Amino acid sequence: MKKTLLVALLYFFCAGLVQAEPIRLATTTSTDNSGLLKVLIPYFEKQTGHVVHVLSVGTGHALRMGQDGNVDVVLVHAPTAEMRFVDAGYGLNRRNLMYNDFVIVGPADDPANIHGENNAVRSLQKIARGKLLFVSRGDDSGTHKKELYLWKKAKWIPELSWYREVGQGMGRALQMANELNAYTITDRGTWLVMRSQLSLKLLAEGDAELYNPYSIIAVNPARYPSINYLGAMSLIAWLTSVEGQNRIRNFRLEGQALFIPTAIKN
Amino acid sequence: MTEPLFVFHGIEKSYAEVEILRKVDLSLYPAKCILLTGKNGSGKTTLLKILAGLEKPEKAEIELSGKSRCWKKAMPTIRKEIIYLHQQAFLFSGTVESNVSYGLRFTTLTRKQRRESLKKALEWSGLTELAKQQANTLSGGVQQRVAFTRAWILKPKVLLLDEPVSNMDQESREQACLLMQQMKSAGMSIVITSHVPQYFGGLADVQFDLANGRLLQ
Amino acid sequence: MNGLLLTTQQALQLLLYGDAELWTIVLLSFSVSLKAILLTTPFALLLAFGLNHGNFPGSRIILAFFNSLLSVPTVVVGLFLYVLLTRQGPFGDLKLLFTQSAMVIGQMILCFPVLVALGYAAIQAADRRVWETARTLGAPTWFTILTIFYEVRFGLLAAVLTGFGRVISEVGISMMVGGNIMGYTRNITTAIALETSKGEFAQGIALGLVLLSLAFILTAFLSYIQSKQGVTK
Repeated sequence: MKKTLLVALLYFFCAGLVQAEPIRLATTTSTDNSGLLKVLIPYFEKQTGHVVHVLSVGTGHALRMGQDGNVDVVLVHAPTAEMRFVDAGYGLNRRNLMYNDFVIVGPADDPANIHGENNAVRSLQKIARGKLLFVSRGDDSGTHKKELYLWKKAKWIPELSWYREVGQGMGRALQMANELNAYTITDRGTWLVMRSQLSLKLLAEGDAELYNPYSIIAVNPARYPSINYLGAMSLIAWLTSVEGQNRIRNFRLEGQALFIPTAIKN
Repeated sequence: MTEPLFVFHGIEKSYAEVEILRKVDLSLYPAKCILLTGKNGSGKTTLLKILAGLEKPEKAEIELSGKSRCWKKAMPTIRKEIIYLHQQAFLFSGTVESNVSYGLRFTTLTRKQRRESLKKALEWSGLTELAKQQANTLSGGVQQRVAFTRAWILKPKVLLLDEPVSNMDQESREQACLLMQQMKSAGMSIVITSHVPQYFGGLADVQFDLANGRLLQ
Repeated sequence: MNGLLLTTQQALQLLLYGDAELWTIVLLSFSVSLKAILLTTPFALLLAFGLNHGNFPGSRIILAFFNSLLSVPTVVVGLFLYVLLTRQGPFGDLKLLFTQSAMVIGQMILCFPVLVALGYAAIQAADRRVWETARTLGAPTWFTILTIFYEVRFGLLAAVLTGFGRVISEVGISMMVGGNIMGYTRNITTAIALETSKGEFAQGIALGLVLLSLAFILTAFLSYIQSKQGVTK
């Protein structure tokens, strides 16, 4: 009896100590929440035998993880930050992977009257002029960076009286916007998942400024010898292969296509 | 005159600058009983604990095979032969059996021998029916019998009993004295402290009084 | 109100029909926290014993130190550990970041003060005569310690349960050094954080129910122990 207990204890502690080296992918919460990776990664793992560990955090955090060498590859949607990342030598072999878009949602009665506007900058200006409640991610994410870029273009500094920086993920931010009956910018993926629970409506879309491109970047192995570089490149190769790109194209969320692959030019 | 089992010389003990024991000498003979009297706080318990190796004296010497050695070096070798029993029998949580057999695991007896030993010891003190009883449900007198048995089973050379019959009714007291007589007859050297020496008239061979840190006959 | 009832109903369905993902998360929580407790308890209790009987000058300071750590915010521990384990950090080469081992280490740090402080209190309540009786009957030091532990076992068990409660419900450490990786380092609390950030309340509530039931069972067990303690004394 005592012997079996001891063996059981040993197994409990040691199981999982020896494992194949995983590929660590840092990505953004909105990417992960769309469910795309949940569908794609198993195919990759099955075909190549690799194991992928997905960490989903804010864009800033994901890039930071790459910079610190705590992950092997990053998948984000923040082009300016990505360029800085590569220029600084933190990442290599940046590949365009896919894009989707952002949309502006808001209260059903649309007091700012932006419906059908389909011009992101003008929409924001209308909201600002009307001092209407606006929820911002406020967390240095790709969505947040896009929003800040648009405010800059609109030449408007949002005021505290109507601007709410929530510092939360997109799902939570949408719920808060719903509670406050406020406007907000969201990626289409999260919108599709959540819209049935919300009373907000999609009011503006299609503007080229709302274009949301995703890239995948391998972390520079020269900086940290233990980076799983080959694993990272294998993942990048698969995602940018014909099969990977097709699977991205065929991904459906709530019955709608969400991502458009950009790695291979037809 | 038989050889003493252990001879203690010059035991000195102080607590916070107060001298409790001043150069106390004591010899322990087999099958003999020493009765130690003295006021409360006179240091009887302290003396017994020093003899058992549970408290450290400032100075003391022990004579072993004719040679005098300091307490510190000699005590570890003779500790196993000396057992101290607290005033008001202290039993571990558990059954009578688990208490009595506690010390057996430190001997070299086989499992079978231990079971035999336990059986005999329980018979010796009449505890066989109570073997599986929880120790804390027993009366004071019975608890004392358990404590005695727990020591008896290890066949020590010396038994130090601190106020063994205080707070007992007459019947329990007589039972306890009977057991103590048997232990003495078996060859053990017994030291008893008590502030009611009359109880031990028949048992004690010699009586000492501890006063002002000194032993007087 | 309707929404809440509906969500709770969905939550219960997820739990009862053995949603595999959900139960992976629950088992992971238990696996990590149990390891942390099992690894910490022997050392913490020995230290608690040493502090009780050591009589060395620093013991009071050490005890005060552990008492002050009893309610340290878990994110603080998580942050410190992250800095130590990051690739550039002093222990980066151990490659522990974003593994279960890192979570276990963090939780060990978290429950150690609890076990020491509460263990100390339990051991202090032990009768001095336990030590003396065990010694005089021939017990070597290590067995005497075990005997004392047995005599105060209810108090020690309460300490262990309290420590376990502290680690099974923490999120700051698991999030920071675990990384909330599905199937690998995602436990109940990080999953709740994730699900609520997505607005997926049903999952969050399901997990919350598991945690609450566990807390209830632990508390009930704790009071049962305390009542038993009353009886044996």
